[in-house]
Amino acid sequence: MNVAQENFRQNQTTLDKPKCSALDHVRQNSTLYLMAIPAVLSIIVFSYLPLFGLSIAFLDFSPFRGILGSEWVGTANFADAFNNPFFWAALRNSFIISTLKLMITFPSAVILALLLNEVRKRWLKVVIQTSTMLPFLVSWVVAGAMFRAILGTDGLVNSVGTSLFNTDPIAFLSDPQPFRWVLILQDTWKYAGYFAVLYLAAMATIDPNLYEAAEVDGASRWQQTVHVTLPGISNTMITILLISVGYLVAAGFEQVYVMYNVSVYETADILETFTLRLALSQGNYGLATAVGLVQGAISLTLVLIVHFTAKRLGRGGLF
Amino acid sequence: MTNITLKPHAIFGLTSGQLLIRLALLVIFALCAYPFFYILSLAVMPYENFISSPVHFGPNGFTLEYFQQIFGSANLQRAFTISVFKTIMGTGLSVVTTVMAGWALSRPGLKYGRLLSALFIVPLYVGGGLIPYFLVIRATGMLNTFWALIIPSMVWPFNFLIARAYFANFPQEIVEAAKVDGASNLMIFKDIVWPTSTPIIATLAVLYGVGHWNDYFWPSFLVQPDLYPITVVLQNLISGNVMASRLGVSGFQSVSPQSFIAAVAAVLIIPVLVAYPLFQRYVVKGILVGSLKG
Repeated sequence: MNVAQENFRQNQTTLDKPKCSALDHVRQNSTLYLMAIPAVLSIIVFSYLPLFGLSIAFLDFSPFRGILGSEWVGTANFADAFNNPFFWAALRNSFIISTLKLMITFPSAVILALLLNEVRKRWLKVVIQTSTMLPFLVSWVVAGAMFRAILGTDGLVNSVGTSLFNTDPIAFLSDPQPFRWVLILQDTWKYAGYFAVLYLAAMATIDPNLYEAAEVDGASRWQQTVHVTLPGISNTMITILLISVGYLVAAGFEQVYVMYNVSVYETADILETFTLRLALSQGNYGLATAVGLVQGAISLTLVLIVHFTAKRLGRGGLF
Repeated sequence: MTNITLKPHAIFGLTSGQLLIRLALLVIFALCAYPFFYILSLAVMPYENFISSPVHFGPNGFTLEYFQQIFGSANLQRAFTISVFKTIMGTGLSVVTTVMAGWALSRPGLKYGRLLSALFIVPLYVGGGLIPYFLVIRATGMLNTFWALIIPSMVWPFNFLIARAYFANFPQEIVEAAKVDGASNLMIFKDIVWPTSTPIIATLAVLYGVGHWNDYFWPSFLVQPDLYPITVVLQNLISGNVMASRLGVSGFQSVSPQSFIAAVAAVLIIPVLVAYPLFQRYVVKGILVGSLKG
């Protein structure tokens, strides 16, 4: 992601002769500017205008009175949020879920890529890689339907357990403890194949001479993996890791929203679902937006910390 | 005997290490693919067979009854049609606007190209959150119209950056030569750039297409039930919020929910299964363009 962004930095060095005025320049290139307008306009309206809507966090907002007509309450909504135990629970859950997802999905993708890299039979590689990409391509709603059919109280796993092994059914989807792990492993299921593609691409760029040299030195396949392949993809791994840190308070809203229910709020209520309930069931838009703003601020702080740390370490920033 | 020293524990011509790798990949394959097989099994298995025996690993019997129910219901038919239109129109619109902007803003001589491109970076990291976003869409007057399903998410910042990175490497000599021949900027784009940019167009089409087809959260808030795409209908069926009356499926209560839900999920899965092999190389390439290009 950051490489794609860096790219335009490099490509924008040759400018027209600066002597013509801005207006002349736009006039001469009017077609190009017109071509960019729909995209630029849609970003301004749907990505930047909502930022102004964040002022709702400082209002006792009523949809009927609008932003200008609502009463200014300063930081009262933030005080409300910080005094709300459910806010802290949601913040904690967001951190725990996304951290565990990172800890499991990230290495899983690396391992999957390493395994696929060892397969020499092309058709086998294609079949397995396709199957690992499929979860990435379906809606969370569909993923939810699958996991319910398999892990629900009357789902496949429990019916096998109760009828064949006489065990008690496990409430994977309504018991807070197993549910957290369902979320984490479902994330691995959905994304490991996608990230493995990135690592496989990085592996394809490793100089084959390195493997030949290792073989001459008598290195086994395993030693080659550890000493050639892993160092070869370490840059990609670090980049993905750095980007992920910026999303540590975003625990996967679409997934949780599909999968969760009242009985698992204890471990699965995250900041977005909490925000949504504040808005929908309590009509407390000011408080909901304040929680969203706090989440955005944490996220932005994490991104900036990663960006400047990475820069200091000489890796180039995220943007 | 000598062979054994060369290949210790060779089974089926594979070393033990290779065998372990194959086994691990077999398990991964099963974990990824089996949920698809299982839900499709439920969708085609008669419900009587489903409840008569406690455990099923695959289809027991075959019926298309649930698919007939789906396409016999005016409301589910409409939801499906809306999903198809949203995907085709939304993807077309998104791809055209993204490619145009990616091309235009990557032109070396364009003074404000970099500034305008920078606009697309901030939204990658910072957003206004659910409520301000909703209020903006409401203010545009698109609420409860078909446009609410395709316009607000028309351009994804990330996809724009992919397109821009791709076009930044477009050979400038070709553009210059066309200009010498008197081609306008519009002609260059229409007759040279668009026809030769199949890789990025296909990549964007896949990324946007999958996004539109799978989209469920915002549609459930931005439009009334008569404009729900089928993902939202599935979500409502699942969440127990079965809108039997609203859907107006005749005799819905007698429909077996598990099989019916599985069939609705299958309607969402099958197009992906059919389309993915056709687009596979572009999907993989798209991921690569997004991460490595430039």
